[in-house]
Amino acid sequence: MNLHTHDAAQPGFAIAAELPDILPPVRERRGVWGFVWRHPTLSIGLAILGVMLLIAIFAPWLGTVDPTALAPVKRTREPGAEFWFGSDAYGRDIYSRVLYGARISLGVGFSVAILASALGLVIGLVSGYLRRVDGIVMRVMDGVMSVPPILLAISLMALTRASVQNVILAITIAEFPRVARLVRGVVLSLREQPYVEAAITAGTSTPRIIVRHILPNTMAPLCVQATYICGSAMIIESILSFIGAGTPPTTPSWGNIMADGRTLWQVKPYIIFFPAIFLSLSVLGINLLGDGLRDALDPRMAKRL
Amino acid sequence: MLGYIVRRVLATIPVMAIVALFVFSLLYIAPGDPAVVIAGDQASLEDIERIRKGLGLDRPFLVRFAEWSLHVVRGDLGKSMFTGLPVTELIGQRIEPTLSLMVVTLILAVVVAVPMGVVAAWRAGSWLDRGFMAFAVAGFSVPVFVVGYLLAYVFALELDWLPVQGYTPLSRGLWPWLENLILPSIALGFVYIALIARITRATMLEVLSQDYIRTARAKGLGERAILFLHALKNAAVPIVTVIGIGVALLIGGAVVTESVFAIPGLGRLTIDAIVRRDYPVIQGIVLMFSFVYVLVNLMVDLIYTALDPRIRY
Repeated sequence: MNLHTHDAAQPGFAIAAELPDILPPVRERRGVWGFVWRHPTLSIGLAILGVMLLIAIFAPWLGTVDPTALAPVKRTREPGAEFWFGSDAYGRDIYSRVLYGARISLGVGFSVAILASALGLVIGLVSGYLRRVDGIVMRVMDGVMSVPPILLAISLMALTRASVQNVILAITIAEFPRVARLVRGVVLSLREQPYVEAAITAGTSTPRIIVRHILPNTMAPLCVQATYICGSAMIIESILSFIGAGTPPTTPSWGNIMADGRTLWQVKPYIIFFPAIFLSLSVLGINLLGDGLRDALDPRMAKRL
Repeated sequence: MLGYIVRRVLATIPVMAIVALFVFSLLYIAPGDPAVVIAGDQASLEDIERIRKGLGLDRPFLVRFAEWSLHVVRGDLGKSMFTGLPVTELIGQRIEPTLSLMVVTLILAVVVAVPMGVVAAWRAGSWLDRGFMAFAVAGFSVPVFVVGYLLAYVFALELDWLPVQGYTPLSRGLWPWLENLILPSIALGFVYIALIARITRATMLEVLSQDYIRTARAKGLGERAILFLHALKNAAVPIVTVIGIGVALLIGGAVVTESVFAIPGLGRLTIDAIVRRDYPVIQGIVLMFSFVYVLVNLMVDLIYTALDPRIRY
């Protein structure tokens, strides 16, 4: 029996007359522009980050030269036709260094975000679900969080060789306790939820409850936190490099380029200016992405912050 | 009340012990052999051995930690590997500029950020609110030294309103002291202002939607009294919390700000120590700042009880 066709009306069924259009039609925006319309912050953030990623990937094909090539004869040239962003005290092309620097800075940001989230997630899940370890783990996390992140990273870098990997490790150690605390908080509130109690009553094993019922619900706040950590890691990397405790000085990271311009900033401010613009824009993009994600994933929070 | 304060103060002792243990264990957490790294590339085997002995890496962890903590409790943070001077003496020589910078920044940030957040919440959705919040997002995105150079370039080099760099001790007069600190504290306060303004706005929004605010309006109370007396008082706990947490940003940022504005404080000491790989100095500074941070948050906890008599742990 086909109920959906009007012409085959059954006896006893009245067919409603079509309603006149009283309400103006809701204009539903679809596709890419609809998404942009609904999530403006998220879109702007994604766009900025996308451009920076493209720059990082295609750095060798964007009119760059070897970012480490020295040319003392052409040192500290103002921005112009030969050196679009000028040249530094060793005659290196700042445009090329900034573009290649995107690889290091974004790479550090993303690596720290992924590592710190993974580490924090595991510790937070275990600590939030197993009461026995919770006390000890959280006291240790409190201890780590009592050391200001930049100082913690500085002291780790003072003890290891300057390398990109060690910078990533140092910033990860400084950042992961925040993730662990966040995840633990979410887990603590989730385990009181009726559906988790129901799962326990039904005899579901603890690992399965954690993976199937708890883990998926930690993902939204974790993603938001990960974007903020990415931005913060990029800033810490630049600060470490700037004060000489970061990536090796020859590596063209944005912090290192700015560190090179430190002594000359009063006469050649452009050496600091260009990497600063790129760094600030990237972090701004990431932070907008984080704010947009938070608004999209948790509409109640959106009204407040 | 007194009993609570005593209990809360005593509770920070184990926290400090954990912090000390963590700071000490950094020597062991760091990948690779710290003695080799500190000695540098041109070091002989004897040099490395001497540094290893100096750091106590040749003896068991627990023995060394017990020894070190006994010294710390007595106020001995070890000796600089470079100058041989006690670390506490080095810190003592450099603490005034850093402390001045942090206190001025703290006051400036609170004075600017709290009214900013209150007004933003009061006129939520307006262009003023959006402007303030856009500023807050920008504040999180620009590194402190970039703000510092920008301010120094515009207000010191171009406009010549304020000194470019340097520091004058407070003993030489209030204005010369403050004059040198204005630009650094604005630079350092940038992120801090953003952080406090955002939290102030968020909590104020929540408080302003409550019934007693409507009652206050209904009985004809002025907007200013409603905002700053009725609402802000009840929004104070999260704001004070964030001010306490944000001190970590101040501490980290001060190291960099001092480098930009050539302020001879603990930041300079840290950077010199990094260049010379003078680990005992770095360890001492990190430990001291961490203790300061723990104490600041202890004070925040004690302020809670004054702000909200319901809070008792």
